[in-house]
Amino acid sequence: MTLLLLNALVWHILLGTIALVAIASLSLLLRGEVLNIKWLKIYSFVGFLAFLGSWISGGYYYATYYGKAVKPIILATSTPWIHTILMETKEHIFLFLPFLSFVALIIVNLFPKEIESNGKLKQSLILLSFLIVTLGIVITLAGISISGSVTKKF
Amino acid sequence: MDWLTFIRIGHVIGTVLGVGATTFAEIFYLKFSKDGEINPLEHDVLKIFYQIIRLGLVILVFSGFGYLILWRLNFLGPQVFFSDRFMAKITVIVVLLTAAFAINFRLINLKVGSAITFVSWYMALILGVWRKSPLSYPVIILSYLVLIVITYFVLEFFRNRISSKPK
Repeated sequence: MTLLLLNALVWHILLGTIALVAIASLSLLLRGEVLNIKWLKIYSFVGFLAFLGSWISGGYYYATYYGKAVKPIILATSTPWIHTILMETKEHIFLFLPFLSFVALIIVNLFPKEIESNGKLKQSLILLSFLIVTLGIVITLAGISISGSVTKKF
Repeated sequence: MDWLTFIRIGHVIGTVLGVGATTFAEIFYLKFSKDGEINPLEHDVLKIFYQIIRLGLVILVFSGFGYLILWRLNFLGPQVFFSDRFMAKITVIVVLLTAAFAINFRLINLKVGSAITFVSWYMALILGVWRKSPLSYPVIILSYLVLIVITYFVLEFFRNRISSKPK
């Protein structure tokens, strides 16, 4: 693995975790009656940017290295479903996470006052952030399983 | 300092903050509940503990991913990633995160939530330290569930004892 690919993998993981923490913080901030709009904007911005960064670095690693170097190793193990099911699922969920976080970013930045006054909008934003965090945790667990299946033996 | 040492220090700090703040939050909550109400000052003190718990959790998660990255880069494979101890630790952390969310959004009873949080932090500590644990995943998880139930009743016992004391 080249230094560039190594960095792509490490940043994919780190930025994904930063995005998850930011979106989880966003949903926690939305609990109160009086909202801290400044921090809502910061968390939604950080969440979106980090997802985007994780998307680009993970995408590069996947497109240039995973298919030819990692996938055959996993398929040769006794648990090929880690690629055929988990990786395939992860790959598809991963595609739309930056878009979901972009929706959250747009809502927070364009309708800050409405979030406070409109209960339904606030509820929808909480649900959206819940969805992002839940999907994020699911693909994180899938990522851990994928990393755990890679050995030098094959 | 190498990466492993740096990550290990971070993991220990995260665990210490989480376990310590959870323990003291519970002790102070019991102490503050003596008069049947939590005044604004007491509320502020508890709030600080909850912030430290959150900080500990974030440090624990990031340093945990640091370990995962090192394991992946060193090709440690299923022996480490799919070990009973590690899978149990991941389960406990996911439960801890879920409980933290559920408490904040009042989706579960606060008393149940605090028993889950309390036991989860200690479980994460024990699983982190007990590296050669011979216990299987089901045994660890079953013990975890039993401990949550026991802790719930122990905390309930102390709450009742404190509230029944003359003011």
